[in-house]
Amino acid sequence: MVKAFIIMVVSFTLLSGSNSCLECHAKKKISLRKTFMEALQVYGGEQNFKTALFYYCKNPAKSSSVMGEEFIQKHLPLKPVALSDELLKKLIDWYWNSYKIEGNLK
Amino acid sequence: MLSSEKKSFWRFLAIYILLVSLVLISISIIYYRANSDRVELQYKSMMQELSVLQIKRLKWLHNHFPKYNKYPRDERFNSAIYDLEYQEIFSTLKSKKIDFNKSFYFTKNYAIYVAILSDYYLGAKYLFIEVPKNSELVNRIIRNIIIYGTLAFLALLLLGVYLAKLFIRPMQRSIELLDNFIKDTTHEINTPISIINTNIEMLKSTGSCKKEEKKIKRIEIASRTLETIYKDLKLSVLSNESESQDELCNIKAIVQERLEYFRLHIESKRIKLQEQLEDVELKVDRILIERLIDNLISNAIKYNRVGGSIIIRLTAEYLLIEDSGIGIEKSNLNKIFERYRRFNESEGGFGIGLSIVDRVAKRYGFVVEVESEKDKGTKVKVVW
Repeated sequence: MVKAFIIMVVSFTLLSGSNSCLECHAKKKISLRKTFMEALQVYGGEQNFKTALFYYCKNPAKSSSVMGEEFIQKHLPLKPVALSDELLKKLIDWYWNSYKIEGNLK
Repeated sequence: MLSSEKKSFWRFLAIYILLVSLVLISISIIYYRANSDRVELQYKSMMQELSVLQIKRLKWLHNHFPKYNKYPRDERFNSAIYDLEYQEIFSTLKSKKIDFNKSFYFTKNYAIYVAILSDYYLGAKYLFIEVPKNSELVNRIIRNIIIYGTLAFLALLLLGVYLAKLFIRPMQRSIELLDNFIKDTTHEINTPISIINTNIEMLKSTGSCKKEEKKIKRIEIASRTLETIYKDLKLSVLSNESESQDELCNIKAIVQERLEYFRLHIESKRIKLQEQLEDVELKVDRILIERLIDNLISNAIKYNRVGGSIIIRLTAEYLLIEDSGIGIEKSNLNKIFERYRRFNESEGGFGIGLSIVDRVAKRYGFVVEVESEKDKGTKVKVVW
Protein backbone atom coordinates (compact mmCIF):
# COMPACT_ATOMS: atom_id res chain seq x y z
CA MET A 1 0.00 0.00 0.00
CA VAL A 2 2.80 2.40 1.03
CA LYS A 3 4.85 1.38 -2.00
CA ALA A 4 1.94 2.03 -4.31
CA PHE A 5 1.46 5.45 -2.73
CA ILE A 6 5.14 6.37 -3.17
CA ILE A 7 5.09 5.27 -6.83
CA MET A 8 1.96 7.34 -7.37
CA VAL A 9 3.46 10.43 -5.71
CA VAL A 10 6.78 10.06 -7.56
CA SER A 11 5.10 9.52 -10.92
CA PHE A 12 2.87 12.52 -10.38
CA THR A 13 5.81 14.70 -9.36
CA LEU A 14 8.09 13.49 -12.11
CA LEU A 15 5.53 13.89 -14.83
CA SER A 16 3.82 17.16 -13.85
CA GLY A 17 4.51 20.68 -12.56
CA SER A 18 7.31 23.14 -13.17
CA ASN A 19 9.63 21.28 -10.83
CA SER A 20 9.13 17.93 -12.55
CA CYS A 21 12.49 16.13 -12.90
CA LEU A 22 11.60 13.93 -15.82
CA GLU A 23 10.03 16.77 -17.79
CA CYS A 24 13.10 18.93 -17.47
CA HIS A 25 15.51 16.05 -18.21
CA ALA A 26 13.44 15.12 -21.25
CA LYS A 27 13.21 18.69 -22.43
CA LYS A 28 16.95 19.24 -22.11
CA LYS A 29 17.70 15.77 -23.42
CA ILE A 30 19.68 14.85 -20.35
CA SER A 31 19.81 11.10 -19.79
CA LEU A 32 18.96 10.11 -16.21
CA ARG A 33 21.19 7.02 -16.64
CA LYS A 34 24.14 9.13 -17.77
CA THR A 35 23.87 11.54 -14.83
CA PHE A 36 23.42 8.60 -12.47
CA MET A 37 26.57 6.86 -13.73
CA GLU A 38 28.57 10.10 -13.57
CA ALA A 39 27.45 10.75 -10.00
CA LEU A 40 27.98 7.13 -9.02
CA GLN A 41 31.58 7.23 -10.30
CA VAL A 42 32.23 10.20 -8.00
CA TYR A 43 30.12 9.42 -4.94
CA GLY A 44 30.24 5.59 -4.82
CA GLY A 45 28.09 4.32 -1.95
CA GLU A 46 24.33 4.72 -1.65
CA GLN A 47 24.19 7.08 1.32
CA ASN A 48 27.02 9.21 -0.03
CA PHE A 49 25.32 9.39 -3.40
CA LYS A 50 21.94 10.34 -1.96
CA THR A 51 23.36 12.96 0.41
CA ALA A 52 25.43 14.57 -2.34
CA LEU A 53 22.51 14.61 -4.80
CA PHE A 54 20.14 16.08 -2.22
CA TYR A 55 22.59 18.87 -1.51
CA TYR A 56 23.16 19.49 -5.23
CA CYS A 57 19.42 19.65 -5.95
CA LYS A 58 19.01 22.23 -3.23
CA ASN A 59 22.21 24.14 -4.10
CA PRO A 60 23.05 23.57 -7.77
CA ALA A 61 26.41 25.09 -8.65
CA LYS A 62 29.11 24.71 -11.22
CA SER A 63 31.64 23.88 -8.56
CA SER A 64 29.63 21.00 -7.10
CA SER A 65 28.50 19.48 -10.40
CA VAL A 66 29.90 16.09 -11.38
CA MET A 67 29.13 16.64 -15.05
CA GLY A 68 31.71 17.68 -17.64
CA GLU A 69 32.57 21.27 -18.63
CA GLU A 70 30.58 21.07 -21.86
CA PHE A 71 27.47 19.88 -20.01
CA ILE A 72 27.77 22.61 -17.44
CA GLN A 73 28.14 25.32 -20.11
CA LYS A 74 25.10 23.98 -21.87
CA HIS A 75 22.69 23.47 -18.95
CA LEU A 76 23.69 25.75 -16.09
CA PRO A 77 22.55 27.77 -14.23
CA LEU A 78 20.00 25.44 -12.73
CA LYS A 79 17.36 26.55 -10.30
CA PRO A 80 17.21 24.98 -6.86
CA VAL A 81 14.56 22.27 -6.64
CA ALA A 82 11.51 23.66 -4.91
CA LEU A 83 10.19 20.34 -3.59
CA SER A 84 9.92 19.66 0.08
CA ASP A 85 12.89 17.85 1.65
CA GLU A 86 10.81 14.79 2.32
CA LEU A 87 9.53 14.52 -1.22
CA LEU A 88 12.95 15.20 -2.69
CA LYS A 89 14.42 12.43 -0.57
CA LYS A 90 11.74 10.04 -1.79
CA LEU A 91 12.48 11.03 -5.38
CA ILE A 92 16.20 10.45 -4.86
CA ASP A 93 15.42 7.04 -3.33
CA TRP A 94 13.38 6.21 -6.39
CA TYR A 95 16.21 7.40 -8.62
CA TRP A 96 18.75 5.20 -6.78
CA ASN A 97 16.54 2.13 -6.78
CA SER A 98 15.76 2.49 -10.45
CA TYR A 99 19.33 2.88 -11.66
CA LYS A 100 21.50 1.18 -9.04
CA ILE A 101 24.07 -1.44 -10.01
CA GLU A 102 23.58 -3.95 -7.16
CA GLY A 103 21.37 -6.78 -8.32
CA ASN A 104 21.68 -5.77 -11.97
CA LEU A 105 24.98 -7.41 -12.76
CA LYS A 106 25.17 -10.98 -13.99
CA MET B 1 81.01 -41.59 35.95
CA LEU B 2 80.02 -40.56 39.50
CA SER B 3 76.51 -39.26 40.14
CA SER B 4 77.83 -35.72 40.73
CA GLU B 5 79.72 -35.92 37.44
CA LYS B 6 76.61 -37.22 35.70
CA LYS B 7 74.57 -34.40 37.17
CA SER B 8 77.07 -31.78 35.99
CA PHE B 9 77.22 -33.42 32.56
CA TRP B 10 73.44 -33.46 32.09
CA ARG B 11 73.00 -29.98 33.55
CA PHE B 12 75.57 -28.55 31.15
CA LEU B 13 74.00 -30.45 28.25
CA ALA B 14 70.47 -29.32 29.18
CA ILE B 15 71.51 -25.64 29.31
CA TYR B 16 73.45 -26.04 26.07
CA ILE B 17 70.48 -27.73 24.31
CA LEU B 18 68.13 -25.05 25.58
CA LEU B 19 70.37 -22.27 24.23
CA VAL B 20 70.97 -24.07 20.94
CA SER B 21 67.21 -24.65 20.56
CA LEU B 22 66.49 -20.98 21.21
CA VAL B 23 69.08 -19.90 18.64
CA LEU B 24 67.81 -22.41 16.05
CA ILE B 25 64.18 -21.41 16.63
CA SER B 26 65.12 -17.72 16.25
CA ILE B 27 67.02 -18.44 13.02
CA SER B 28 64.09 -20.52 11.74
CA ILE B 29 61.64 -17.71 12.45
CA ILE B 30 63.87 -15.16 10.70
CA TYR B 31 64.32 -17.51 7.72
CA TYR B 32 60.57 -18.22 7.58
CA ARG B 33 59.67 -14.53 7.74
CA ALA B 34 62.23 -13.53 5.10
CA ASN B 35 60.96 -16.20 2.71
CA SER B 36 57.30 -15.49 3.50
CA ASP B 37 57.91 -11.83 2.69
CA ARG B 38 59.48 -12.87 -0.60
CA VAL B 39 56.51 -15.10 -1.45
CA GLU B 40 54.09 -12.34 -0.41
CA LEU B 41 55.89 -9.87 -2.64
CA GLN B 42 55.62 -12.27 -5.60
CA TYR B 43 51.89 -12.66 -4.99
CA LYS B 44 51.38 -8.93 -4.54
CA SER B 45 53.19 -8.04 -7.73
CA MET B 46 51.25 -10.61 -9.76
CA MET B 47 47.88 -9.68 -8.23
CA GLN B 48 48.47 -5.97 -8.70
CA GLU B 49 48.79 -6.57 -12.43
CA LEU B 50 45.54 -8.54 -12.36
CA SER B 51 43.80 -5.74 -10.47
CA VAL B 52 44.88 -3.16 -13.09
CA LEU B 53 43.39 -5.38 -15.76
CA GLN B 54 40.16 -5.85 -13.80
CA ILE B 55 39.82 -2.09 -13.19
CA LYS B 56 40.07 -1.50 -16.96
CA ARG B 57 37.27 -4.01 -17.48
CA LEU B 58 35.15 -2.35 -14.76
CA LYS B 59 35.67 1.02 -16.41
CA TRP B 60 34.50 -0.35 -19.75
CA LEU B 61 31.45 -1.95 -18.12
CA HIS B 62 30.66 1.28 -16.25
CA ASN B 63 30.61 3.17 -19.54
CA HIS B 64 28.45 0.57 -21.29
CA PHE B 65 26.05 -0.29 -18.45
CA PRO B 66 23.22 -1.39 -18.68
CA LYS B 67 23.64 -2.38 -22.34
CA TYR B 68 26.28 -4.80 -21.10
CA ASN B 69 25.75 -6.05 -17.61
CA LYS B 70 27.90 -9.15 -17.38
CA TYR B 71 30.45 -8.81 -14.57
CA PRO B 72 33.99 -9.39 -15.96
CA ARG B 73 35.36 -12.80 -15.01
CA ASP B 74 38.80 -14.36 -15.48
CA GLU B 75 39.77 -17.97 -15.02
CA ARG B 76 43.02 -16.92 -13.30
CA PHE B 77 41.29 -15.20 -10.39
CA ASN B 78 38.03 -14.42 -8.59
CA SER B 79 37.08 -10.88 -7.70
CA ALA B 80 34.58 -8.74 -5.87
CA ILE B 81 33.64 -5.08 -5.79
CA TYR B 82 32.46 -3.17 -2.70
CA ASP B 83 31.32 0.42 -2.39
CA LEU B 84 32.80 2.95 0.03
CA GLU B 85 30.16 1.98 2.57
CA TYR B 86 31.51 -1.60 2.50
CA GLN B 87 28.39 -2.89 0.73
CA GLU B 88 28.95 -5.70 -1.72
CA ILE B 89 28.10 -4.77 -5.32
CA PHE B 90 29.12 -8.05 -6.91
CA SER B 91 31.34 -10.95 -5.90
CA THR B 92 32.75 -14.18 -7.30
CA LEU B 93 35.02 -14.71 -4.27
CA LYS B 94 35.29 -18.13 -2.65
CA SER B 95 36.65 -16.77 0.63
CA LYS B 96 34.21 -15.59 3.23
CA LYS B 97 36.79 -13.55 5.12
CA ILE B 98 36.76 -9.96 3.85
CA ASP B 99 39.19 -7.48 5.37
CA PHE B 100 39.07 -3.86 4.26
CA ASN B 101 42.00 -2.82 6.49
CA LYS B 102 44.68 -4.82 4.69
CA SER B 103 46.01 -4.43 1.19
CA PHE B 104 47.02 -8.09 1.06
CA TYR B 105 46.29 -11.16 3.13
CA PHE B 106 46.04 -14.92 3.09
CA THR B 107 43.03 -17.03 3.95
CA LYS B 108 43.26 -20.80 4.40
CA ASN B 109 43.26 -21.52 0.65
CA TYR B 110 43.56 -18.14 -1.06
CA ALA B 111 45.71 -15.06 -1.36
CA ILE B 112 43.67 -11.85 -1.48
CA TYR B 113 44.77 -8.46 -2.84
CA VAL B 114 42.70 -5.36 -2.13
CA ALA B 115 42.90 -2.49 -4.62
CA ILE B 116 41.33 0.89 -3.91
CA LEU B 117 39.77 2.60 -6.92
CA SER B 118 40.17 6.35 -7.34
CA ASP B 119 37.18 6.48 -9.74
CA TYR B 120 34.27 4.49 -8.40
CA TYR B 121 33.41 2.52 -11.53
CA LEU B 122 30.02 0.86 -11.00
CA GLY B 123 30.09 2.56 -7.61
CA ALA B 124 32.98 0.37 -6.44
CA LYS B 125 35.71 1.67 -4.18
CA TYR B 126 37.26 -1.66 -3.17
CA LEU B 127 38.30 -4.34 -5.62
CA PHE B 128 39.22 -7.74 -4.16
CA ILE B 129 41.34 -10.07 -6.27
CA GLU B 130 41.49 -13.67 -5.07
CA VAL B 131 43.88 -16.36 -6.34
CA PRO B 132 44.35 -19.91 -4.99
CA LYS B 133 47.23 -20.12 -2.55
CA ASN B 134 50.22 -22.11 -3.75
CA SER B 135 50.95 -24.02 -0.55
CA GLU B 136 53.95 -25.69 -2.18
CA LEU B 137 55.97 -22.49 -1.69
CA VAL B 138 55.23 -22.34 2.04
CA ASN B 139 55.63 -26.10 2.42
CA ARG B 140 59.08 -25.87 0.83
CA ILE B 141 60.12 -23.22 3.38
CA ILE B 142 58.85 -25.37 6.27
CA ARG B 143 60.51 -28.48 4.82
CA ASN B 144 63.83 -26.62 4.57
CA ILE B 145 63.50 -25.45 8.17
CA ILE B 146 62.78 -28.99 9.42
CA ILE B 147 65.56 -30.69 7.41
CA TYR B 148 68.32 -28.11 7.94
CA GLY B 149 67.16 -27.35 11.48
CA THR B 150 67.34 -31.04 12.46
CA LEU B 151 70.76 -31.47 10.84
CA ALA B 152 72.09 -28.35 12.58
CA PHE B 153 70.58 -29.48 15.89
CA LEU B 154 72.19 -32.93 15.64
CA ALA B 155 75.57 -31.44 14.73
CA LEU B 156 75.35 -28.97 17.60
CA LEU B 157 74.18 -31.75 19.94
CA LEU B 158 77.32 -33.77 19.14
CA LEU B 159 79.38 -30.65 19.75
CA GLY B 160 77.48 -30.19 23.02
CA VAL B 161 78.30 -33.73 24.20
CA TYR B 162 81.97 -33.11 23.38
CA LEU B 163 81.90 -29.77 25.25
CA ALA B 164 80.07 -31.32 28.22
CA LYS B 165 82.79 -33.97 28.45
CA LEU B 166 85.45 -31.25 28.31
CA PHE B 167 83.51 -29.38 31.01
CA ILE B 168 83.53 -32.28 33.49
CA ARG B 169 87.06 -33.49 32.68
CA PRO B 170 88.73 -31.43 35.49
CA MET B 171 86.24 -32.88 37.97
CA GLN B 172 86.91 -36.41 36.69
CA ARG B 173 90.68 -35.83 36.99
CA SER B 174 90.33 -34.71 40.62
CA ILE B 175 88.26 -37.78 41.50
CA GLU B 176 90.70 -40.02 39.63
CA LEU B 177 93.60 -38.51 41.58
CA LEU B 178 91.73 -39.00 44.86
CA ASP B 179 90.90 -42.62 43.93
CA ASN B 180 94.51 -43.34 43.03
CA PHE B 181 95.76 -41.75 46.24
CA ILE B 182 93.31 -43.79 48.34
CA LYS B 183 94.18 -46.95 46.42
CA ASP B 184 97.90 -46.46 47.07
CA THR B 185 97.32 -45.54 50.74
CA THR B 186 95.00 -48.50 51.31
CA HIS B 187 97.69 -50.92 50.17
CA GLU B 188 100.10 -49.41 52.66
CA ILE B 189 97.94 -49.29 55.85
CA ASN B 190 96.83 -52.94 55.95
CA THR B 191 100.04 -54.31 57.45
CA PRO B 192 100.44 -51.68 60.24
CA ILE B 193 96.77 -52.20 61.31
CA SER B 194 97.27 -55.97 61.48
CA ILE B 195 100.43 -55.51 63.58
CA ILE B 196 98.67 -53.11 66.01
CA ASN B 197 95.68 -55.48 66.39
CA THR B 198 97.87 -58.56 66.95
CA ASN B 199 99.95 -56.79 69.60
CA ILE B 200 96.85 -55.48 71.41
CA GLU B 201 95.48 -59.04 71.53
CA MET B 202 98.86 -60.28 72.83
CA LEU B 203 98.96 -57.60 75.55
CA LYS B 204 95.37 -58.43 76.58
CA SER B 205 96.00 -62.20 76.69
CA THR B 206 99.25 -62.04 78.67
CA GLY B 207 97.73 -59.54 81.11
CA SER B 208 101.12 -57.89 81.46
CA CYS B 209 99.74 -54.37 81.28
CA LYS B 210 96.88 -54.45 83.78
CA LYS B 211 97.73 -50.93 84.93
CA GLU B 212 97.57 -49.57 81.40
CA GLU B 213 94.27 -51.30 80.54
CA LYS B 214 92.47 -47.97 79.85
CA LYS B 215 95.19 -46.81 77.47
CA ILE B 216 95.20 -50.16 75.66
CA LYS B 217 91.40 -49.87 75.26
CA ARG B 218 91.80 -46.47 73.65
CA ILE B 219 94.44 -47.86 71.32
CA GLU B 220 92.08 -50.75 70.45
CA ILE B 221 89.19 -48.32 69.67
CA ALA B 222 91.48 -46.23 67.49
CA SER B 223 92.77 -49.33 65.75
CA ARG B 224 89.25 -50.63 65.05
CA THR B 225 88.20 -47.24 63.69
CA LEU B 226 91.22 -47.38 61.43
CA GLU B 227 90.34 -50.95 60.41
CA THR B 228 86.75 -49.91 59.53
CA ILE B 229 88.07 -47.06 57.41
CA TYR B 230 90.49 -49.43 55.75
CA LYS B 231 87.73 -51.91 54.92
CA ASP B 232 85.49 -49.18 53.50
CA LEU B 233 88.29 -47.79 51.40
CA LYS B 234 89.21 -51.24 50.18
CA LEU B 235 85.62 -51.93 49.20
CA SER B 236 85.11 -48.52 47.71
CA VAL B 237 88.27 -48.33 45.63
CA LEU B 238 89.39 -51.89 45.08
CA SER B 239 86.06 -53.74 44.93
CA ASN B 240 85.96 -53.59 41.14
CA GLU B 241 89.04 -55.75 41.06
CA SER B 242 87.47 -58.74 42.85
CA GLU B 243 84.25 -60.70 42.29
CA SER B 244 81.79 -60.95 45.20
CA GLN B 245 80.61 -64.35 46.40
CA ASP B 246 76.99 -64.69 47.54
CA GLU B 247 76.18 -67.24 50.24
CA LEU B 248 73.38 -67.81 52.76
CA CYS B 249 74.24 -65.52 55.70
CA ASN B 250 72.70 -65.29 59.15
CA ILE B 251 72.08 -61.55 59.40
CA LYS B 252 71.26 -61.65 63.11
CA ALA B 253 74.66 -63.25 63.84
CA ILE B 254 76.42 -60.68 61.68
CA VAL B 255 74.62 -57.76 63.40
CA GLN B 256 75.52 -59.16 66.83
CA GLU B 257 79.12 -59.71 65.74
CA ARG B 258 79.40 -56.18 64.38
CA LEU B 259 77.84 -54.74 67.58
CA GLU B 260 80.43 -56.67 69.56
CA TYR B 261 83.10 -55.24 67.26
CA PHE B 262 81.88 -51.70 68.04
CA ARG B 263 81.26 -52.48 71.72
CA LEU B 264 84.20 -50.36 72.90
CA HIS B 265 83.04 -47.40 70.80
CA ILE B 266 79.52 -47.68 72.21
CA GLU B 267 80.79 -47.93 75.76
CA SER B 268 83.19 -45.04 75.33
CA LYS B 269 80.27 -42.76 74.40
CA ARG B 270 77.99 -44.30 77.07
CA ILE B 271 75.35 -45.00 74.43
CA LYS B 272 72.31 -47.06 75.46
CA LEU B 273 71.80 -49.86 72.98
CA GLN B 274 68.41 -51.44 72.36
CA GLU B 275 68.41 -54.61 70.26
CA GLN B 276 65.33 -56.32 68.81
CA LEU B 277 66.78 -58.95 66.54
CA GLU B 278 64.90 -61.71 64.75
CA ASP B 279 66.56 -64.61 62.92
CA VAL B 280 66.97 -63.58 59.30
CA GLU B 281 68.88 -65.35 56.55
CA LEU B 282 69.78 -63.69 53.25
CA LYS B 283 71.83 -64.86 50.26
CA VAL B 284 74.43 -62.11 50.07
CA ASP B 285 78.18 -61.54 50.01
CA ARG B 286 79.26 -61.60 53.64
CA ILE B 287 81.87 -58.86 53.21
CA LEU B 288 79.38 -56.57 51.47
CA ILE B 289 76.60 -57.00 54.05
CA GLU B 290 79.15 -56.50 56.83
CA ARG B 291 80.19 -53.20 55.25
CA LEU B 292 76.54 -52.13 54.96
CA ILE B 293 75.79 -52.94 58.61
CA ASP B 294 79.16 -51.59 59.84
CA ASN B 295 78.63 -48.24 58.18
CA LEU B 296 75.12 -47.81 59.55
CA ILE B 297 76.19 -48.74 63.09
CA SER B 298 79.39 -46.69 62.82
CA ASN B 299 77.41 -43.59 61.72
CA ALA B 300 74.87 -44.12 64.51
CA ILE B 301 77.74 -44.12 67.02
CA LYS B 302 79.88 -41.43 65.40
CA TYR B 303 77.14 -38.84 65.06
CA ASN B 304 75.44 -39.67 68.40
CA ARG B 305 75.54 -37.63 71.57
CA VAL B 306 77.43 -38.83 74.65
CA GLY B 307 74.82 -40.74 76.65
CA GLY B 308 72.53 -41.04 73.63
CA SER B 309 70.71 -44.12 72.40
CA ILE B 310 70.67 -46.50 69.46
CA ILE B 311 67.78 -48.79 68.56
CA ILE B 312 68.54 -51.71 66.24
CA ARG B 313 65.63 -53.74 64.93
CA LEU B 314 66.06 -56.68 62.59
CA THR B 315 63.03 -58.40 61.05
CA ALA B 316 62.41 -60.58 58.00
CA GLU B 317 61.35 -57.38 56.18
CA TYR B 318 63.94 -54.84 57.22
CA LEU B 319 66.86 -53.68 59.34
CA LEU B 320 66.27 -50.44 61.25
CA ILE B 321 68.99 -48.42 62.97
CA GLU B 322 67.79 -45.37 64.86
CA ASP B 323 70.03 -42.95 66.74
CA SER B 324 69.51 -39.89 68.90
CA GLY B 325 72.34 -37.95 67.29
CA ILE B 326 72.87 -34.67 65.49
CA GLY B 327 70.63 -35.52 62.53
CA ILE B 328 70.86 -34.29 58.95
CA GLU B 329 69.23 -31.19 57.44
CA LYS B 330 66.30 -32.05 55.15
CA SER B 331 67.88 -30.20 52.21
CA ASN B 332 70.89 -32.53 52.40
CA LEU B 333 68.98 -35.81 52.62
CA ASN B 334 69.02 -36.38 48.86
CA LYS B 335 72.81 -35.98 48.72
CA ILE B 336 73.88 -38.29 51.56
CA PHE B 337 74.62 -41.24 49.28
CA GLU B 338 77.07 -39.29 47.09
CA ARG B 339 80.64 -40.45 47.26
CA TYR B 340 83.06 -38.14 49.14
CA ARG B 341 80.04 -36.14 50.41
CA ARG B 342 80.29 -35.11 54.08
CA PHE B 343 77.97 -32.90 56.06
CA ASN B 344 79.82 -32.80 59.36
CA GLU B 345 83.50 -31.93 59.47
CA SER B 346 83.79 -32.50 63.23
CA GLU B 347 83.95 -36.26 62.74
CA GLY B 348 86.62 -38.04 60.73
CA GLY B 349 86.04 -40.02 57.56
CA PHE B 350 86.15 -39.77 53.80
CA GLY B 351 82.44 -39.50 53.09
CA ILE B 352 82.25 -42.91 51.49
CA GLY B 353 80.27 -44.88 54.14
CA LEU B 354 76.76 -44.20 52.88
CA SER B 355 77.85 -44.45 49.27
CA ILE B 356 78.92 -48.02 50.11
CA VAL B 357 75.55 -48.66 51.82
CA ASP B 358 73.81 -47.37 48.69
CA ARG B 359 75.97 -49.50 46.39
CA VAL B 360 75.38 -52.70 48.35
CA ALA B 361 71.64 -51.96 48.64
CA LYS B 362 71.36 -51.35 44.90
CA ARG B 363 73.27 -54.54 44.17
CA TYR B 364 70.74 -56.67 46.09
CA GLY B 365 67.66 -54.55 45.36
CA PHE B 366 67.31 -53.35 48.95
CA VAL B 367 65.53 -50.03 49.56
CA VAL B 368 67.20 -47.60 51.94
CA GLU B 369 64.80 -45.17 53.62
CA VAL B 370 66.27 -42.30 55.66
CA GLU B 371 64.34 -40.09 58.03
CA SER B 372 66.20 -37.44 59.96
CA GLU B 373 65.57 -34.39 62.04
CA LYS B 374 68.29 -31.88 62.86
CA ASP B 375 69.48 -32.23 66.49
CA LYS B 376 67.04 -35.06 67.16
CA GLY B 377 68.41 -38.08 65.35
CA THR B 378 68.37 -40.22 62.25
CA LYS B 379 66.43 -43.33 61.33
CA VAL B 380 67.81 -45.57 58.56
CA LYS B 381 65.70 -48.46 57.36
CA VAL B 382 67.03 -51.04 54.91
CA VAL B 383 64.09 -52.94 53.43
CA TRP B 384 65.23 -56.31 52.12
